[in-house]
Amino acid sequence: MMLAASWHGPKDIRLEEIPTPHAPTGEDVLVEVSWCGICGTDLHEYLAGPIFIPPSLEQVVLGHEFSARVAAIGDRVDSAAVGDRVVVIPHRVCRECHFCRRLMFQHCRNLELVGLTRNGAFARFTVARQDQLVPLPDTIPDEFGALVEPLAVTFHGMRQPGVYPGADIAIIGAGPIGLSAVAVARAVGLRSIIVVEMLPQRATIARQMGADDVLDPREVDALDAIRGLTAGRGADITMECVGLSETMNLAIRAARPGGLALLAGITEMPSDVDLNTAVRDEKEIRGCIGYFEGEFDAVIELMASGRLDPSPLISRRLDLDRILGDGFDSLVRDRDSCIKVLVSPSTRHGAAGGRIE
Amino acid sequence: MNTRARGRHVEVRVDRGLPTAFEASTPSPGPGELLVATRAAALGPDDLKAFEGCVLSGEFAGDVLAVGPDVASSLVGSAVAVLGYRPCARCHRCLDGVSTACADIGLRGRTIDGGLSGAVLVRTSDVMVLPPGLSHEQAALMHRVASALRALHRGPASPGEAVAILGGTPLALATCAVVLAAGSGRTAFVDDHAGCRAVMEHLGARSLERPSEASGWEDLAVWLGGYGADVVYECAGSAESRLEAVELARPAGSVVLLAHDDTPVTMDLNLIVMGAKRVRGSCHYALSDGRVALDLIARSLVNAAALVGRTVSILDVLADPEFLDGFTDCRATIVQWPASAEVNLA
Ligand SMILES: [Zn+2]
Ligand SMILES: [Zn+2]
Ligand SMILES: [Zn+2]
Repeated sequence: MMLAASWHGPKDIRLEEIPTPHAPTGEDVLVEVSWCGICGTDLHEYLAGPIFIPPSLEQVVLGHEFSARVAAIGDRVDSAAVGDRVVVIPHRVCRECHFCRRLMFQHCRNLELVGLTRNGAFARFTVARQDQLVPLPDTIPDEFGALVEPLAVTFHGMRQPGVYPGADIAIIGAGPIGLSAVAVARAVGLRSIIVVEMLPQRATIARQMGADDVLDPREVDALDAIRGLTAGRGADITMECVGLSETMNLAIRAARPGGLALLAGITEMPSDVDLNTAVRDEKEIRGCIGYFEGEFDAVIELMASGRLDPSPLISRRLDLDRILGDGFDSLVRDRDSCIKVLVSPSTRHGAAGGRIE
Repeated sequence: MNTRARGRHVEVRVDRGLPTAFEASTPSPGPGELLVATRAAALGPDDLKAFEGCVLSGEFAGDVLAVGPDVASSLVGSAVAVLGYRPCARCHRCLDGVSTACADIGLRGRTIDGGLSGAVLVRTSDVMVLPPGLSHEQAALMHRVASALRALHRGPASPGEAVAILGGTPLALATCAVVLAAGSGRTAFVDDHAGCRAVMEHLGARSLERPSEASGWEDLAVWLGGYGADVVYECAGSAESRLEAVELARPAGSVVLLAHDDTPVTMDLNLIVMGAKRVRGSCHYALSDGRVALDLIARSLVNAAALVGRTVSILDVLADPEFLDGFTDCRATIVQWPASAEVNLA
């Protein structure tokens, strides 16, 4: 048996003993989790789920942003060995559907998500298929490995056509995704980085991570201020990382004529969207979700080269048995200072034990 | 009686919602200006929505009558098409090279005087000399073809890609012609207007009424390739149609919005975010798009004839002021203004 944090329903995440996964077969790999971050998606599931979790599922172990070590391999695994340090891509794709055959894996019709549709990494062990593993070089600590997934989400945004070195960007919201966007924007050579955030500690971290200007929307009109900082034009690129109607419209309006508004926030209700500014000024609004093959590796390379230091993102490190009060509840209560909470279920970090059956 | 000889010309303005001829004194072109005698204009019922008192038509071609003091006199007599809008050339958007988003843009035949006139004053920066062999009547279609080309490039639909066009407007028809010319794959047109559907069908698009049930849209998405269109060109502009366009685009597909409408759209933005969809506006066109449009029409690479419903004389329009209303299938009425004909005031 092993300790796990399982979702049972909204506001009902339980720390409980569950069976350790069976020895892996086929292309599957059993991994021992090093660190796993609590994601905004986990919080959405905690507060208002099920969203990504299939309604038919009664219980699932959360946790999809993680680094791990390979503990055992199936009989058809040829690209991983026991002991490998890895980051796991949570997408387990079917490799057969309409979209997989067109290499559009993130739109796989039979997509499974580790930590949402199948058991994840808030437990000592979890299972992945070998094509979900990305090797983590020795120079990068396990903790940083757990940050690769959220950084890859924003890296995917920065790889979109319309994003180019020397462009300026306005990032709306400095939560985990917004702050990751700041770090990645800096690392890939965007010129001027403007952040809109009203919480003071988040604003401070945004500056630490490379923001040139941080605007407090309670003090200034954010739209006017962004235009003021971009010679009256609006930003070449805006990125919405909040998920509210108001901030979505700000992102669309604050993009310059011909500019790009990347929408990364997940909204909980329909929004009144000002599309006419996009028509008149020939802007583009683009949904930004997930990542492509190779983008985990690219983020790891940016970290290895020293161009991306994710350490300011980490607010707290916990053993798994403290995940409820010091993890989920803290993230809900203290949005300002709690950005990324990393959880370790591994005995190496002194947490709950387990054994392979 | 020859008005031109007396330094006067006739122009057709919107008067109480109807085209009406007025005599006016002919201006002389200043620096950087040309005087153009219109020979053909493309009109539709929408043109009557122009500001009261405005000279009609934003889509016209003509001959250069006279040039300003600093303009090459060799241009006199040249056949030209004129940009359908007038950027201010001073605001920071114009100076940044995005004059289509000019903060003080004038729309010819809508918010500023258009071209249905015996003498139109235009800037040299707003005209294109017609390629050899192109008639004024064909050149009058430049505006809508250029706008459609702009939208195509905003898409951009690659050859073979599945395309849907929503909304029966003249621009939708031009977009259909341009997209098919560019080699689109399955191409569907959706609108309730039977006349528009017949025209699109004739061009080569599968045309259908707006489905009233979700299952109708799903069937269309399947026909378009399984999960929706690669590119949807939304030409109606209503909130409903814009929402349908976003829904009809496949995951990671594109929507191009061509119509202006200030009504906010209430939508679940997760459709765009989780679908990784792209929604782009396309507005007006650049001079370069206009030149390409003229060239494509001249070389018959776009089926321009299919965009025309009827060709009439300016005298017919003036004889029956409600004439324009009688033609609503999204094809143009080409109005000829013969060089020799004298337009008489009623
Ligand atoms: Zn996540
Ligand atoms: Zn698949
Ligand atoms: Zn201007």
